[in-house]
Amino acid sequence: MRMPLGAIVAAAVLLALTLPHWANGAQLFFWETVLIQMLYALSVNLLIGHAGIPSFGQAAFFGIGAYAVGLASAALPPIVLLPLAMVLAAVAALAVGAIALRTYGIAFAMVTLAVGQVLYTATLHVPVLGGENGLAGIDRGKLFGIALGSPAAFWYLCAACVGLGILALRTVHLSPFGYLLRAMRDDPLRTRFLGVDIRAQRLGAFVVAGAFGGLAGALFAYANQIVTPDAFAWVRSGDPIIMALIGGMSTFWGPVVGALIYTWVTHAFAEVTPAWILYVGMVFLFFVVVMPEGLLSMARSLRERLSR
Amino acid sequence: MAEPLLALSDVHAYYGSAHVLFDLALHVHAGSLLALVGRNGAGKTTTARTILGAGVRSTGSVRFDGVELARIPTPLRARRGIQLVPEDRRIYAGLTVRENLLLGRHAAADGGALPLERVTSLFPMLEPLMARGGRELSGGEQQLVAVARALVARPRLLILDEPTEGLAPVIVEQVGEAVRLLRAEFGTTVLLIEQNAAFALDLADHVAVIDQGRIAFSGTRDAFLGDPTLTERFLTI
Repeated sequence: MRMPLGAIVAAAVLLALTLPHWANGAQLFFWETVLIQMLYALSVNLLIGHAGIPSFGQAAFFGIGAYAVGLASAALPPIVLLPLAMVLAAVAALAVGAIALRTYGIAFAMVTLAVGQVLYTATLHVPVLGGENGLAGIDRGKLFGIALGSPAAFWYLCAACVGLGILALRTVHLSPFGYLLRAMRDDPLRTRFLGVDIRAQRLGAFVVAGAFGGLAGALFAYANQIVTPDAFAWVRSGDPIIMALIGGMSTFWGPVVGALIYTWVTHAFAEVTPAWILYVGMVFLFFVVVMPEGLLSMARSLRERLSR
Repeated sequence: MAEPLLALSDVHAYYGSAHVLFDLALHVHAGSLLALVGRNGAGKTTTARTILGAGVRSTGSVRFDGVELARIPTPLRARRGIQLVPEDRRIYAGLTVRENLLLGRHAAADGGALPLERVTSLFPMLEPLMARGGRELSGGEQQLVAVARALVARPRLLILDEPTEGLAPVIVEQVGEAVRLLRAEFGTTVLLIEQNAAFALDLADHVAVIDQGRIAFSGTRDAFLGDPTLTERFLTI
């Protein structure tokens, strides 16, 4: 049976509105992390799952968004800084993509990975970026006179930004640009026969994904009130890929479900054992072996089979 | 006589070091249907790819509407009005029929795309399939979607590469009707690449036979059918 999307979205909105009334600070922080990871995983999946662009360096744009907040939070309010972080990440994606997208496949993956690692190294050696300690004491500032230092106030900002981000990415997914990306992924040569400039469309996808990766990074920095070089680390590029794989790369909502599962599993094991990463790895292996196409893709296949 | 809409001359094509087309010359006049027939591996699909400039290295002249295409990239060739319905008719399985058809708009000149309502009025059998995923269609339905998608761009030259391959006879008839219909409605010039010579000759004004990468015959359909030596040699393809 197919669950109606409208009902799920309504339940999620209701949960988001009431959460600060019954959740404590730690629980709010957990759910903020889940939301940010959802947005981040969706941005990565726009590239890998839908456009077939194997980017292993999305942390570059996540980190740019995070460091933009780290550097400018004292001077600029979030209403300016969040869009600015997106623009900076998009411009960086445009520059990286213009060069990297001349390559394909594993070569492209390595170029993007290298860009992320270059920026990671730069944070360690550029004094203004705070070195290994990063930039601490990020001021969340105020929004329409409301201090975002309050966990509840920041929760609503975070939920609203992620909600709008998901809505925007969903709109892209359903737009002609969205199905053009999926067509290019399935058969690039045939799509060229249709008069499509593949490189320009791939660059467009890279810039959109970079912008939303930057927004996720900016929210992450506000949520944690500190940003460290880990924002650029290769693991930061790998995590959203794992989330998308768990949920299902061929569906729009797969990365959302994957981010929820991955963040919850990581959090739950980290609470009980210092070897949490081993158990998280086993959970990931379970998903890859038992449902290699991801949870939602498998559910869709089952539904299609049953409806025949 | 007016210059052909499509003119290939002295064309050689290569896959790596393999030389597959030799001194090929081919003319397709505006409004006509040229059937390019030949055995498997004779060079039919390579000819189509050479015209579009993709997937094959070639030399020689390919002129479309008086313009040399050599330096024009594939997407721009498509936007000049050349649409290819490739062999094996794979449509985009992950997209719906509607999305598949809308992709055809990319090659249309500004504002020149055929509205989907017009497409479904030409191919009424597509109307109930619009929301269906590509992977749910039969082979015949996929072929009709592929032809209809090319039509959305209102091509001046439609290249159909093996459109009947693997289709049941009743579906082959439908494809033939679709080709007749689009010629009658839009006057579209067609290059029909076929191994099924009977099907191709039924639709063609002109015939070219390709054999081992060389044009072995080029002329009118009547000239071809009127020469028993040619029909005996090539209708057994």
